[in-house]
Amino acid sequence: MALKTVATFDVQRLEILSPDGSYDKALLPKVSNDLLLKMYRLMVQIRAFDERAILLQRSGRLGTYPMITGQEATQCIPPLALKPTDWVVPTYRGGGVYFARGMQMRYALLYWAGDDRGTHFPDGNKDMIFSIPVGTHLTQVMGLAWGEKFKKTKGVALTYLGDGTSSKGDLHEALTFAGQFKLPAIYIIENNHWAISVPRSRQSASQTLAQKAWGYGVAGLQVDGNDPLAVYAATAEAVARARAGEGPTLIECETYRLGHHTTADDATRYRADKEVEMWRKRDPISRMKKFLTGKKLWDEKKEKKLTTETRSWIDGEVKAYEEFPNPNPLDMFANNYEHATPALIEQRAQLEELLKFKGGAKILTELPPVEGRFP
Amino acid sequence: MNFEFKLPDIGEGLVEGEIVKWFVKVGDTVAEHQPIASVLTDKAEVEIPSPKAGKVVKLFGKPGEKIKVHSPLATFEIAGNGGPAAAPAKAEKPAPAKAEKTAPAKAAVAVAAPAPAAAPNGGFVFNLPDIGEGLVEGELVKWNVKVGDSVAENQPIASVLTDKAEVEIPSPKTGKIAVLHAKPGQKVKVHSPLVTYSGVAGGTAAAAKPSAPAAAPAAVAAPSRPAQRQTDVSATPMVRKMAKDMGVDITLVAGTGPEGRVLENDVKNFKGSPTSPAGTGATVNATAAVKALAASLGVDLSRVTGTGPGGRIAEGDVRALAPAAPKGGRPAAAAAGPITFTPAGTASQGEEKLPFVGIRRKIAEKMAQSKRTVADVTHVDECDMTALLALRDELKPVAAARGVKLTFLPFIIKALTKSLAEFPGFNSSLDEAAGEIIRKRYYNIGIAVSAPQGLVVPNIKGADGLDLFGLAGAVSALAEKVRSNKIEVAALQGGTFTITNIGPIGGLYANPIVNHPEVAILGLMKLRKTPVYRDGGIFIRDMMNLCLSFDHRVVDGADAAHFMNTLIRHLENPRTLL
Amino acid sequence: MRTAAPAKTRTMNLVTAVNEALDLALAADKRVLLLGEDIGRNGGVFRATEGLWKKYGEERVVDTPLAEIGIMGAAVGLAVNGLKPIAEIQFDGFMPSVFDQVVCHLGRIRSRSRGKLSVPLILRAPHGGLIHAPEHHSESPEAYFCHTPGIKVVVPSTPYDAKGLMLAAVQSPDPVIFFEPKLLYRSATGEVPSGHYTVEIGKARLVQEGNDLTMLTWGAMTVTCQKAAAKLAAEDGASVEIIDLRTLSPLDLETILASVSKTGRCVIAHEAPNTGSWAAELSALIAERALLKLLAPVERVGGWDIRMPLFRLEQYYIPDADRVVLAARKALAF
Repeated sequence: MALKTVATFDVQRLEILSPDGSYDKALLPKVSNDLLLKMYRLMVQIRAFDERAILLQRSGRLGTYPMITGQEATQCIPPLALKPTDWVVPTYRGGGVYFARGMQMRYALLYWAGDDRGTHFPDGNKDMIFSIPVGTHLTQVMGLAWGEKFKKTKGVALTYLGDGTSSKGDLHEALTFAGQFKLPAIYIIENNHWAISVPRSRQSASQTLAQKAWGYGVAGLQVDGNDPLAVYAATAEAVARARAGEGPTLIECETYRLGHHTTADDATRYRADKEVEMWRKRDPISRMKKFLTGKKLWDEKKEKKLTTETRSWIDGEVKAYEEFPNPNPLDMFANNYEHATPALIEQRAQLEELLKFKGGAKILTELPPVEGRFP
Repeated sequence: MNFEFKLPDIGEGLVEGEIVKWFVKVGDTVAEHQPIASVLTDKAEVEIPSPKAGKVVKLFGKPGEKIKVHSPLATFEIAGNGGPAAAPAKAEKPAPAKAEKTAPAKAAVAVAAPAPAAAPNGGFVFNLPDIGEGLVEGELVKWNVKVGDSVAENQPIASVLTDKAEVEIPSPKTGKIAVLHAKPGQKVKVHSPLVTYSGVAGGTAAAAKPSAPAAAPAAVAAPSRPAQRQTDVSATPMVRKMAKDMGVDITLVAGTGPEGRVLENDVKNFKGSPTSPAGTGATVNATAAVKALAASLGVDLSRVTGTGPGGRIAEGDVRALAPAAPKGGRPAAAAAGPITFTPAGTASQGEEKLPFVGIRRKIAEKMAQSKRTVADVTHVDECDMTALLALRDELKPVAAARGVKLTFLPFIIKALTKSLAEFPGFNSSLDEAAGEIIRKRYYNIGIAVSAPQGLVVPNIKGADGLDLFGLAGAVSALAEKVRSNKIEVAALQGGTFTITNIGPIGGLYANPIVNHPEVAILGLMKLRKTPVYRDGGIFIRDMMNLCLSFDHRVVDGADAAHFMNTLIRHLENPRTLL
Repeated sequence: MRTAAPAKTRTMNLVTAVNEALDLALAADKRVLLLGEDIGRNGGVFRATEGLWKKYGEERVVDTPLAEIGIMGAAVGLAVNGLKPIAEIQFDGFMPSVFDQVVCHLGRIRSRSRGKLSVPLILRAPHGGLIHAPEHHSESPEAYFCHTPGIKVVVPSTPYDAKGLMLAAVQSPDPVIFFEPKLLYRSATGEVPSGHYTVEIGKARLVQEGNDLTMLTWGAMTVTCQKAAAKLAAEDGASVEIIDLRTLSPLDLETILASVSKTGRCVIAHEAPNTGSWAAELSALIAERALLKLLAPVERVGGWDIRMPLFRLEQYYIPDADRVVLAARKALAF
């Protein structure tokens, strides 16, 4: 007896804007020129910011830093399709995402300098700090989306995960729930081809990562992650689907990590320069520049102006970061419970005594004021 | 100004990097972020950008050399006050002040101040102060006051005996005596309660409860309500066990520790139990009765191995070590049972009983201990003092002019210090535990003085540095202080050699007891005119016997003979002492 | 400790008390929802959620896929988003799957967001052994949770406390791990007020007063301690004080230390392996703060440092009254 086909699926890939600047007119998303210019500006600025962050790290002015070089489109564009009241949770390599959501980048520097006060998002945003144990946020985002549905707000929750993280069980359980309960969630697999030194080809025997969607009965799509217009279009469609109550979408944005895993890594140990050079030619920023120039929305004069503004903006953020007063160690005890337990009250007093022992009784008045309520 | 750029930790726990090449040379002007060097780490070759704009003044290390992280890489001359430091510290703020003159408060938790604590019944508690350079405890000799007395500030309230002297304790406050925390003969630890006052002027409130113990100074501080449960009492497990082993009901013991904690000593001193033998300081596992027996027999309990349960010292262990009673002789002065004390002398049946306390007892302990420890030998010789006495008479006017009275003692002391310099063994002490003989290069000559309060031995510090008249002055000063009972504790400590001048009273020969831990003591016997044969004839000369007792563990008979010969030679040629 | 008991009470067992509490919570606060495996149509494998799916609908009493990480993560997300999820992990033995969420996030989100976000959820799970259950169905994992900062851990041993603590947990702005002793689900009965009341989280319960020895315990061991105390009273004339901690974290140190300072002797009785157990922490705290009142070392009576055996031998693993009595006698004779 012949086998019956009981289910089939097609995995599709969306491309709109090519590296050479040419584009598919029919697929062009309907967005304002302002938004197009904003896309370009965000990408240019975050790249320059990352370059500066690397310099800071190399000269001992910053801790380990994960740069997004090459991934600007995947990071900066999707937030533009959301409201501030929609939830966004990136990965730890999420500088571009938070930047596009309006975060002041001095806080990114603070965070990577090991300062808790770096977790600081714009008021009114539903942003959450990423999870260092990768993937542990995926079920939480599913819960956030569930909450939006439960409250009937029409809000959505968008999150990122890497190609490496797509191997984790958390994704399986998150999509199982999200699909089953038709939750308004958008999962972006930011496939930058490398999980530190392990290439995408080692993460999964699956031909694409997008096709995992079919395992959970949710919508899936692969996108040229370096194509800002395609990324926007795909995200906007997924958001609309979610808001309409039609369930989650898994979007695989294929991009490339041009830099090292972090400033503590040396990618030349495990990958070929040739591959990197190939991807450099598929850069999101240069193709966007060509597109905008072609549309007469951009020119060299504007470019020069942007460069100057960017440098000055970065200088400002670095200065603000370096002029931040030292944190007060007693801060650690705030916000552990709604009301601190007796044990915490006692232990905080012990830390006070330690501070006095180290620096004399005056130390408590010399440290900056404690942030956060206590007890 | 110059800015020193240290190689940062650029890779999560890097220890050092190797300089591959410099991109700049001394004298170059560099901009912020301009790469200045390529450094090879464990993980990669990394370009190091300059953290500041400036001029290169110095580069540390040549290509191929390793540089440790956080050690200098390059020095720049930068403009003005420069920007933020290259080091991870970001703020301009100075580090938390370490310039505090006063020591930072130690971890607050437990430092108990020696300040008097509130007594259980709310009065002011006066703790025995440290009256003598690190004194640990004193023995209460007598009270000058009784419960209920009103006393004024500075009024003497008690006499306390330290290692060397009896000291008067003045009242720190004006008030009324509510509780006396010791009985005569009882030891009191420094910083523990001595007296509780009520109605202290300007002190803490609350008068003593009417139920405060009356009359007998035997009172120990009573808690405001009697303890009934073991857990009403605070004590460490060790102290509880000790009480149990000693058969003491800990709920009846008053605690003198922090917040009324019952301490080891509180248990030991409970119910007027005889105190432990002098000077051991260690916790001895023996019942009160056995301790008293040991004291009466002169047995040092710290040297006794106990054969009782848990190593407890039994009566038999003590008797086995007691010095043998003289055969058929008069009965030992100490009877074969514990000595009982009564607080005041009572007369009955033709006997007078005096408390065996104070300096008398101190002397007893010291002498007995010396006898037990020192392998004593006495070497006796005679000295012709005729020339010395003549010289003394000659110098009398000079002495008078200097306001000092010149006896022969300064000559003896001078001769002694010279002789001791030649024979340092006699100016030493033996530290058996450390296995060392300590020869002292300083000469603190003690002089035994019979004072109304008892025998004391103050010493003249650095006697070798004084001339005859200086020594005369020192001797007079010491004598005066002893007479008026104002001798300082310091004068009683640190002696290296002792003289006992018994001669003025009488005596031809004696075996003075070595003033342990010194090694030798010189007894000066009576000065008398005696016919002696010398230079072919018989003459009447002023002769004096010198009796040198010494510790044969440290020096030998021949040494003693040589030492004495030298001493006598000096004394018989007194001009050498000028 | 207790709020004044309203006039009307009913006799019920512990699982019914839990059910009542959940019912009241769902009724009173629209933000409350339950999620877990088999809790909806089936009413939960112990019937703790019996009848609630029918009453409140599948949006509020949710049968989830078989995915503990999913359940826990969902609860975190729901709570961060302003709702009050009560998640169930079906058996204590399945809790390790959720450690990632508990340790990495549950107690941290408030402080990592610097007070902007919080996680007011309840994680319910059955607790303890002696019900002849298969492997991994008799565990006492409280130590792992008590060791984690930023969360609270409770375990009632009476129906009254079960309902009151659950209602308190629903009101708690902090995450609460709620252990329900399986042995007591049906065997523990008592008077429970109808209507709403709470038992304060962080306060221990004085089960019986005594002078000679303190027993500190929680969960099903509370009943075991009562048996042991009765034996000690009858055979040794000892007067035993029993304290049911009820909240394991944060501890009611005041009550614990007052009792131990009074009696001077302490036995801590629990089901988990002794080494690194919560009893070990209590023992350390008592030594630190009540040393001067101790008349004997603190005794810990717990499981051996081996895995829980299959149920045929479980009564030799989980301490019974005899083991508690032996420990108490050791302390009394010291």
